[in-house]
Amino acid sequence: MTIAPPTGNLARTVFSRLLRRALSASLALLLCLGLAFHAGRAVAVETVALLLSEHSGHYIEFSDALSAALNDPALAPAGGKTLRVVELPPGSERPDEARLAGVGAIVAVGAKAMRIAAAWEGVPPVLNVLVPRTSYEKILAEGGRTRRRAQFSAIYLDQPLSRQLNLIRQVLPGKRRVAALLGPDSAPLLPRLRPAIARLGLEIVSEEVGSEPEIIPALSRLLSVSDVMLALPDSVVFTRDTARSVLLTTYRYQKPLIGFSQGYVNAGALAATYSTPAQIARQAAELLRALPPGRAALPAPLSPAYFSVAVNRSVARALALDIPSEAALQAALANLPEVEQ
Amino acid sequence: MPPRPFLPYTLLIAGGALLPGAAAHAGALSESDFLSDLPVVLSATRLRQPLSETPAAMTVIDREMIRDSGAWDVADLFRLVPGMYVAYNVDKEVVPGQVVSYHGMADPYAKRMQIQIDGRSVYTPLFGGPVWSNIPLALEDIERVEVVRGPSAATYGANSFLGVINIITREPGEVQGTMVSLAAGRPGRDATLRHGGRTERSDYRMTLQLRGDNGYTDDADGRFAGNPTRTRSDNKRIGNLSLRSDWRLTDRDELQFQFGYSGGMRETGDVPNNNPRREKEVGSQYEMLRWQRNLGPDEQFSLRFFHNRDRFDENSGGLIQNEHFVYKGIPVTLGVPAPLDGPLSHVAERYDLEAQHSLALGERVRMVWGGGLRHDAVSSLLYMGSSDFRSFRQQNLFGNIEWRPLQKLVLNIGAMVENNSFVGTRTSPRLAANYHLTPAQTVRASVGRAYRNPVLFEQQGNSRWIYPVLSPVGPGLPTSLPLQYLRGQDNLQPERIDSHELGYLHELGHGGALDLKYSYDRVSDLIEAYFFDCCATTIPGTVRTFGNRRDVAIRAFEAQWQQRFGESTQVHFGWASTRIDVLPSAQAGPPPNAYDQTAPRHSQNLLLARQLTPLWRASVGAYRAGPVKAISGDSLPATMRWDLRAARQFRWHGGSGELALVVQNVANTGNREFYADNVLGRRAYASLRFEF
Repeated sequence: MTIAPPTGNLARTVFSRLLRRALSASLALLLCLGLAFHAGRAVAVETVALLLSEHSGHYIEFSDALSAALNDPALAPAGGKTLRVVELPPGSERPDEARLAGVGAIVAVGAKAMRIAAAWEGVPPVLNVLVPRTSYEKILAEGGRTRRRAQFSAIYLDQPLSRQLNLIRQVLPGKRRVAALLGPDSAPLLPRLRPAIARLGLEIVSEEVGSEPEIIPALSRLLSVSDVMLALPDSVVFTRDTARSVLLTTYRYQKPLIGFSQGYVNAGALAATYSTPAQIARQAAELLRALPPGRAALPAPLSPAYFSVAVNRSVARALALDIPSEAALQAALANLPEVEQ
Repeated sequence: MPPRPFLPYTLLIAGGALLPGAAAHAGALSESDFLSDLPVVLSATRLRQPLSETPAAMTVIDREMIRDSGAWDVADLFRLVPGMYVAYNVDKEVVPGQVVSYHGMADPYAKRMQIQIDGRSVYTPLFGGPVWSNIPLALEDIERVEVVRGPSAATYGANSFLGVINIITREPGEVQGTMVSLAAGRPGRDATLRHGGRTERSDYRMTLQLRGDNGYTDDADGRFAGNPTRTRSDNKRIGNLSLRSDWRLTDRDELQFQFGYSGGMRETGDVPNNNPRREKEVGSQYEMLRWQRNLGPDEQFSLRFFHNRDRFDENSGGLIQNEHFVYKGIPVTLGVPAPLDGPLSHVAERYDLEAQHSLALGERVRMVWGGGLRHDAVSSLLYMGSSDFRSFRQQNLFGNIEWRPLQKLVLNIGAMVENNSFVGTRTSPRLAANYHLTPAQTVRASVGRAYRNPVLFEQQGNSRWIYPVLSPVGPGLPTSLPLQYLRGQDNLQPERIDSHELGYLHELGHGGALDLKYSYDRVSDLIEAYFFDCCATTIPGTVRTFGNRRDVAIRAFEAQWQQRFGESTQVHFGWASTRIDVLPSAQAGPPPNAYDQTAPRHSQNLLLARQLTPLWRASVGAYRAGPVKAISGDSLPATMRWDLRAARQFRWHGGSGELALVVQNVANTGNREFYADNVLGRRAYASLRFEF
């Protein structure tokens, strides 16, 4: 293994820090070697490599927004870096050395890109974006101990639970009983959901289902004893295929559904908080810029910092609900402290 | 300890979860779950207006109320609507059906209301009104009924005159699986089977219903108010088949197809010789196709086509005897008149095409507009003079703007312009204002105008009976005698209603509401039957015809209260006071119909339901109507009726069901409805419903 010659103060600092660490923690020799390898690559840290799941749609939207945000001087923090973006070719092969030269961090966009990047070894730290929290945690679990969060972090698509619950409080003041229909992906959220709901003075009623035929009966039971349904992302319960019957059932019970996407609100959910690819890109740009120079250790996975609120006015009207404007709701939610989950 | 059969199943699931790749669910969660568009499900056309924003008073009967009411058939439900007069089988006229009439002018055809099922008008063009007993619609397939208590042509189209009944059926996606329902008792027997299924892009349901209905079951032979009465011959055997299929063509396009057929036999007749006891073959069918494109959550375009066909066949030829009488000392024998001596058939068809576009123009304005084409065709040798089809054509344009100039004020401004082949062009405007005094209290004021078009029977009816003279015969003597029974003069104007309504709505929480309404309606140019002379008939001055001859004023006060107490108790109460005054007119003499008696002066209804335990449910219904004399009906005293229902819900082999016992008119008061012959005593039936 060779260490590239240090260039400039930045790299020197990194190099000396590495040496100190290697001396003080000699038992972690292997790890240090790995980090040293990275540090060598990071000498020209001004490049971010983008790996898109597909060269289309939301991924392009993200990529364009990221480039724009990184080039926008108004968004640059005082003394912040200027970063360059290169796009890696899609594919599961590990990119060659030449492509990764000078790359300080890889941004993997979407779950497919995350899976590809997860299989790579000895690459710069990977920031995963446009990924659901459960998908990320699953990959992390599959990788076992070989992957540290500082080297493989994420900005989730999932809104923090406290934000979604605060939305319920804002649009449905006085409604206390929140129903949650959980499936395989969302069931693990329950231990975090309970205290979050209790903190806001709300009550939860929940059921767990494992397959599609169970959904409507369980939903009916929940709706008859609750005020509002909170949809949590799940690959069985709240999918494209089930949206129709779920929304029709909630409407038949005249109960609002709080969704997790703009699409759900268009389809008939009362309201949702959600983040667009551009909003995630803005957060990613800020994160990348704020990374300490040199070897980048990524922060722990984050929830979206920038978000929007969508309200379906037709549904609000049909349920005889008077709901503040989306901008007012967004401002109110942005001002509330987010409780750590 | 779970029952043993479940154990392997549990193991199977647990085992499956352990196998790599054998995930319990179809696909892993991905970003597309967050970022993709979904097809619009709750489009503005599927959502209903909240009561506090409707431009007219409304009664909503939902599935729970339908079940709790213990209704035996659809028309029964309307007893829950304040101001509605309902009577069972009225079959002395041609159309076999129930009477459902709002605010008076009750006649056998209920022709002064618009009746829609999923937007399809079920108004039969020969006599007007729906053939209630022959609609291929099972009670189990109804999602809810919205009754608009007032004219509403701007929203519901032509003939939305005194009121509108809008029946919404269940979405196929919600009735997946199989349902079996069996009922039997004094009212009759019913077996209903429904299956709901789905394919990749569609949901469908099919319902088959076989029904034997005993009609009025009480013996009415005797006298009432000095006149003879006879037990009704009104049993029927009907089979109904209906199909609804909802297709999702693309993310934006939905296609709905409906088909229904109702056919069977119906008894009729009560007076020997004049109206002999016999059987009528009845059949109704419809097909409907509706395409909707969702242009966004607030914008839809839809195109709908439907075709209805109603048919009645009978043959009283062999049942009518020759008539013998003595005229100026000469004995005369007349044979069976043509066309009553052979098979008779009445066919009514309706073709209807409508386009509609609804959209939001900013936060404060919503708009719906559209237009339609309609073609009605009727063939009836007995009533139209020939078996040729007579046509009625209509085109209309409609629009309604809902404008919210202030947060507390909702204005509905709408109109329908129609042109038809009977009366030319008419405009039905409506203006309504709803003002929210507080978030829970709303006052409503509206003015509007609507028209009822004359039906073919009234406009062009032609019924001429030719009696063969069997004796005496000889040179110079007539061989036949013509009797003109009916002759329409093709000169009718539509009936017009000018309506004024004041309402107050207090929403009481938990879905409860108190709704008060006062209305003053002026109905002009009422179409009235009278006798005149024409057509060289044998007995001059006895030809029935129709004219725009009367104006009436209807003043009504109605209250409706719905409330839920806790999770388990619900109450619905309705009260109506209706006063009809005949206004001075140019016609000589008193009106042939006592219009002021065509609606009960006071009527009340009550439905109280309670879930006693998780499995037992009980309900009580009470219906009272003051004295009434419907058009062509008898003068009848007030009626009072108590209904009871007790139900036991159960689960069995993974399905759920309910066993219920219903007793209608518990006190056996022998209510007489519409005709003195219609005696409704106590009737009990048991029903079993099971869904799996």
